[in-house]
Amino acid sequence: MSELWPEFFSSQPFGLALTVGAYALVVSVARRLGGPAWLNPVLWSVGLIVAILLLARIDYADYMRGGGIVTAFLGPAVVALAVPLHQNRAQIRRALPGALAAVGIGSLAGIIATVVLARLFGASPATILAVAPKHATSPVALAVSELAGGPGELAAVIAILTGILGAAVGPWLLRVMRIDDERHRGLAIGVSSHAIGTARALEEGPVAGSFSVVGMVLAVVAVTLLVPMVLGAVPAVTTWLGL
Amino acid sequence: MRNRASRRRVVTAPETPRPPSGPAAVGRALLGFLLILGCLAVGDGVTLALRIPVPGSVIGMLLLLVVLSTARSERLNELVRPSATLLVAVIPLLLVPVAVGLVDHLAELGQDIVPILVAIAGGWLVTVVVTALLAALGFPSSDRRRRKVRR
Repeated sequence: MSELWPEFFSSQPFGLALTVGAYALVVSVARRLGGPAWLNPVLWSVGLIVAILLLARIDYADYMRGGGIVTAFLGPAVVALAVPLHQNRAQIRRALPGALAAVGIGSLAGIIATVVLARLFGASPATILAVAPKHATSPVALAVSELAGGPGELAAVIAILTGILGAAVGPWLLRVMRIDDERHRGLAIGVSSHAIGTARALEEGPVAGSFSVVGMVLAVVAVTLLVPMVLGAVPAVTTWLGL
Repeated sequence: MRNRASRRRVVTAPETPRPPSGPAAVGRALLGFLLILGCLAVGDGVTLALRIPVPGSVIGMLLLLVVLSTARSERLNELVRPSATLLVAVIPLLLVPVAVGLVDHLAELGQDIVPILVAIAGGWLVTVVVTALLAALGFPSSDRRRRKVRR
């Protein structure tokens, strides 16, 4: 009887049901409690699933036989981001030159700050490659880190942690800074905390939401272009980072 | 004065997608999904062929944006919208299994936990502040809006 359990834990329905079930549970609990900021759905679903995997001694690879079904839709979901962009194209087009400059410089400053802070606090080269693309949405962080020879999954985890931080603290920080325009708020949240931040920005309104998508999408482009440049353009910098 | 209502956080899908009903609508929605998959496949192909450090999904997204923008009518957009709305709404869910991958990296994460947390918080702060301030400079609020928030 007991030898049936490992087989069940490594089956496709188990990983799929665990993923969807944990997420649905967290979302419904959060809704019942009035959606407090600390009850971020991604954070708590991940925590719940990780705890179950560790307690039941289930391998990540076994869980991913089902979980991978969910992951397979990440690529199409990134492609689908073209639709909200297209729908808000008139308003976006007017703000685009300013937004491009803001995202380009904001991303560059963020990447440099991230890499320098990581290095100063003694991060290993692999860790530097994992934190560098952290403000891109996690499939992009994964790809950019792997293409640079870094640990992709760790980069994805770090990107998600960044998104959770931004979703929880971003709106408050922008209020403190007296950034009141929904376009500015959305853009800054999207650039810094990608999809998870965008989900939060959409709650502020459609304008904040659509500009958050713009920020997230431009951040994808910025991170993809700028991370290899920051890490590899100047040999002295590359040497200092230990890459 | 800060608006109380705007501080309340509601955890819902950003946009509740209406599922297509009826065989014709389902067929059109699937055709839209096929277009998304086609853009993804082309994007992946471009990434592989050119060996550029850009994820295929990003190229696919830009390709779909070009396709939607150059199309004469809105029909193509309506074709893609049902599946796109659904996919975008569930992005947080789609991120969960990848993030669970941290169980295989607990040792690495633990080893460098201080630099990782400092880099996440510091890098995030710099990105938000610089972007928000430059956005406010680059495309300022209209006069009407500015008057509203003037103290």
